[in-house]
Amino acid sequence: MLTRLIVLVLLSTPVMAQTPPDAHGLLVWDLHRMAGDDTLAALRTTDEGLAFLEAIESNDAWMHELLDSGPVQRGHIVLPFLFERWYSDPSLVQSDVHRSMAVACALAMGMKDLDAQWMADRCDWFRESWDAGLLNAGYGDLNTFERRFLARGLQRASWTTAKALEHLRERVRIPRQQYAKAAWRAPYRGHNAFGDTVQGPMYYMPFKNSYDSSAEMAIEVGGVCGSLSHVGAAAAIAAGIPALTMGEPGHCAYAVQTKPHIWQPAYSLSWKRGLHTTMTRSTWTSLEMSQQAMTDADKVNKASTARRRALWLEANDSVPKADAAWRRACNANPLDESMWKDRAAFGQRHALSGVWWNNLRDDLQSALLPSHPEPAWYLLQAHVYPGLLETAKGQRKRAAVREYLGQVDGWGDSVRWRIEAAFEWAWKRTNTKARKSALLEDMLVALIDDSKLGPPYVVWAQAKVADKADLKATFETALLEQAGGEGDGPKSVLTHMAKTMLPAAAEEHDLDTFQRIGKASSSLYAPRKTLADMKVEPFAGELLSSGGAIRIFKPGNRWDSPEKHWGVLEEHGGWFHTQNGETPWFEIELPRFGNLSGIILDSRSGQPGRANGVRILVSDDGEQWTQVGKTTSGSPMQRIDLGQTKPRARFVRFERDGQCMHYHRVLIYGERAS
Amino acid sequence: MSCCAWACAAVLLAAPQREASFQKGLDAAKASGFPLIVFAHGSDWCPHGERLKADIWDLEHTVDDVIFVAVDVREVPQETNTARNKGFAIKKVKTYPSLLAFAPDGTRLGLRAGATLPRVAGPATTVLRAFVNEVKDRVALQDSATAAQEAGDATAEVAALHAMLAQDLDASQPLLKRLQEVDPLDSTGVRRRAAFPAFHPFVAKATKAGQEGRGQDEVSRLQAMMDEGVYTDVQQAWIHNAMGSTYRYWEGHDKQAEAHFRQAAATAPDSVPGLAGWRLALKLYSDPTLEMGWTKRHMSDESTKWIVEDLPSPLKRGTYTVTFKWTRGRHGLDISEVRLLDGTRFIVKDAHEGFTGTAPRNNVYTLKVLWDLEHPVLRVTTKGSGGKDSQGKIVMEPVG
Repeated sequence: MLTRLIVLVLLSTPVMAQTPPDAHGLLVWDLHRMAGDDTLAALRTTDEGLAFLEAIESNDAWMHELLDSGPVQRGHIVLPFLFERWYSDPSLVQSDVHRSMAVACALAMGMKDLDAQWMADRCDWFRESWDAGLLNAGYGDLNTFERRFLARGLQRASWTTAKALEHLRERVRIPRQQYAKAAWRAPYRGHNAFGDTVQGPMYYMPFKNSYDSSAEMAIEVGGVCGSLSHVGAAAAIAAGIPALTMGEPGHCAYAVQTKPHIWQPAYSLSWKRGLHTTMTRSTWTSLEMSQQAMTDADKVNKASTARRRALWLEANDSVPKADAAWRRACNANPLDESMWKDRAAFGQRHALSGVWWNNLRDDLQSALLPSHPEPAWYLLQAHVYPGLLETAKGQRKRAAVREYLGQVDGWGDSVRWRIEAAFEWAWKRTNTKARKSALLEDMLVALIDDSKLGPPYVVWAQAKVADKADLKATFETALLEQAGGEGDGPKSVLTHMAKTMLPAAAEEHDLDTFQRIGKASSSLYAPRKTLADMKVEPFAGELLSSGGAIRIFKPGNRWDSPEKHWGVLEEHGGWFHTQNGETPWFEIELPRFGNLSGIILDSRSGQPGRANGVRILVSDDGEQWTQVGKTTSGSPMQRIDLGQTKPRARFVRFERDGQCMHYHRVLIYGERAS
Repeated sequence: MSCCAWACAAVLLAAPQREASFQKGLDAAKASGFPLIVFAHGSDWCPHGERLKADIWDLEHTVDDVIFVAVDVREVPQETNTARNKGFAIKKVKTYPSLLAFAPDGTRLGLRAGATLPRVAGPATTVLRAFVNEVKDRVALQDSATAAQEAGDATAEVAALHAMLAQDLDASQPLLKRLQEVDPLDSTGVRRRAAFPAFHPFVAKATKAGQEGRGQDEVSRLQAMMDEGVYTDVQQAWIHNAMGSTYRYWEGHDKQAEAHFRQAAATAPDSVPGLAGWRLALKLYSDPTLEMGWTKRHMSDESTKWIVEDLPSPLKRGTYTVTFKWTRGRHGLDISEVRLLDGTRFIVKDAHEGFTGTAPRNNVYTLKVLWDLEHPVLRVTTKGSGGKDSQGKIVMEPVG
């Protein structure tokens, strides 16, 4: 508190005696600021323009929608577009739903160069569809921030033209949860009927002009992940449900609001997602947090009013009061990233002191950690550290990262993100070997007991020391010591790491980490005899289980060897053994979706009963399961033929009642579907 | 009894039998031999479905000998609904609201939804009643077919099965299988038309055969299908496309491939396969076109003549410019003459030396057309400018 007072005293700008306008006055001031003088002047040249300004300036709800629904870009495009919508039918203001959608369309026009007629058409289309009762009932409850996803459309504009929306609305009107599977309305086909690859221009060429929209063409002709994801997301948008497409490594997925204000990844293979439509940043965690920030209208209004007051005070030379208003804005809605960014920008503009930046860092960390580690890290390194640590020495910078990591707890309320960026940031600011070694150990101490962050940290650190023998030895010693492992030398490290971290990575659906540790630890055990040597014929297609991860019931029990789990999914072979229980199980997460042709179960001889009666279930999402087979013998080597049904799966689960299961290999074959 | 009471009684007698759950509906259908009609809606998310339910489903009282069940597929399930929907394959409903028909044995008979279920009450009621009648006809036809089968009357059974296939309802595999057993020759072609496969697997199979060197067998098989003379124009177009695709991958058979793709276009010009055949013929084998421009394949070191076929037809009288626009490649294109023909008949020409490349010059040709042309084509005299590595567009626009 004392330091805050000192900061305020130290703020050098003079305090003026002006009083900011009330909340309504601030809204009008902000509207004018957003639009710019030229735009306002142009609108004021006509009676219609004046009437529009009078209408919007007398409607606080409308101004809130426009100014407080995420970032406003290019106000000189936004306001004239909104004027056109109002001019074509002033009554739209009477309906909360239609007014909000018109605002969302105007804001979308500001985000990207989109054809104004295309946007006007979709605005009308949503209006008419809603009035006719043809959209999902949830459309009526969306806020303007959420409607912006509908207005903006998808990465490829042709997929959500009014015609495409019309087609999809009639053909795929389903309960909103089901849109997470709507991508499969288009068949996954790498080549069209004429043998041309989807990677080339010939794939859709024969069918151009035969269908009314890209969406209809993909449903009839087929496509791969890009088209399928666009079909799924466009179908949701056609029902008035927010959706977007996302890039993943070598894959395209999408996300849908399957419940009010809740986004769900769909057709997704990885946590490494880059959103194609975003109001803030392109990370998944940013989407989740900004959605939360925009859900509570009272918080949004309170924070936005404080923000406007801060901007007004700053514009009127009341910097200390502006500073206090910025703090109120951040406190009112701490999940709104833009508040923190704007507050940091304020600090930069006024070259505020180190103490001020310390306070900002403390406020931010206490507001966002441990629940939102990724947005917190982004804001710290991109907006706070430059002010806080600009002239600091490496030691302070490393300390800042240590402090950050000390407050992180797993992935918080969200999912895996690229925390390696934080490790890397600190690494790049460390010069000598001794300091690097100390940094690695510091971070190890901070993270080793975290079952979520520990495995990716160790994988990252091992890569860093791989070609530095002395650092490697020191790190591995520290690793064994910290992890409480036995023995010494690389093999002991590897064994211990694999034993603890492979099950943890599988539990986290972190296939990258599972693969890296698993592959390295496969050098610890001999490969099993090949299928050819054992005269076992594989099934058609590719080995889909390769590159996946396996979770088992109670890993690390006295009979299990977690360090050999990786090999179970590969021809190499390995070993796992579930615990006994009422219904023991093991589950394989494939690295991609596939249409399964068959499964080879390679167990040990002896205890044949345990291989009998194993139920085989498949799932797209790891939550809803469908049984597709069951073992009917205790033979140690079993081929389960699924060629007749070719079930689609990304997760395959095995379970049986009453007894444990154990296998050397579980090989899953089929055609890829992503 | 008063007239009004008689009328009410008649209405009551004619009303559909409504059951409270899908399972009860199935049981009632089985017991009565009546078909089951299901109205699938979502009361907490689909306002359109609720409107149709109130306006047509709940009010319907003119159809009889049929079981009605409404299945409410909610976003937030309720216990009562879960019980009501039990046994109903929710995942198989592709869009809501849907009217689904089931035979007394539970086999699905047909569907009205989306484009086939009007949004407005009046037309939707008409569709509902027609659908019910068609479904009842199907059940009656099925009974006739079964009776004929038991009596050993193949002619009557075939007639009943044909009538079933003529309906706007599902053509199930068992139905087609039975028809094949009882009428293997299929002299009318009804079964073969109904059993014609989806285009993707059909053409992909032919494509694969061409790629794997089994072109001769595949073409023979497809030609035999064509010779049967029973398929619709659209189906024939797919057969031609399949043959074209086989030939395309069969070395030395480009001419046959082009001929079959063009034949697909000629057989069903405005259909999906017709357009596909036309576009493939143009893209893979023809001279440059307005839509696709020219590529390396069209280039020559010698003076050569291109026939550009995809002009708008009829071409209205007026003045047109033809512009050659290089887009990529190491070489430009020299143009010396552009002629407009109507079929093979010369109409007008613009002959001057032009060039298109990174620095185009005189690359616009002007053609004045004094009357409408039915079969307009351009004949362009060109030559690669220093090589064949050139791609570009040909743009034909009316002046003014």
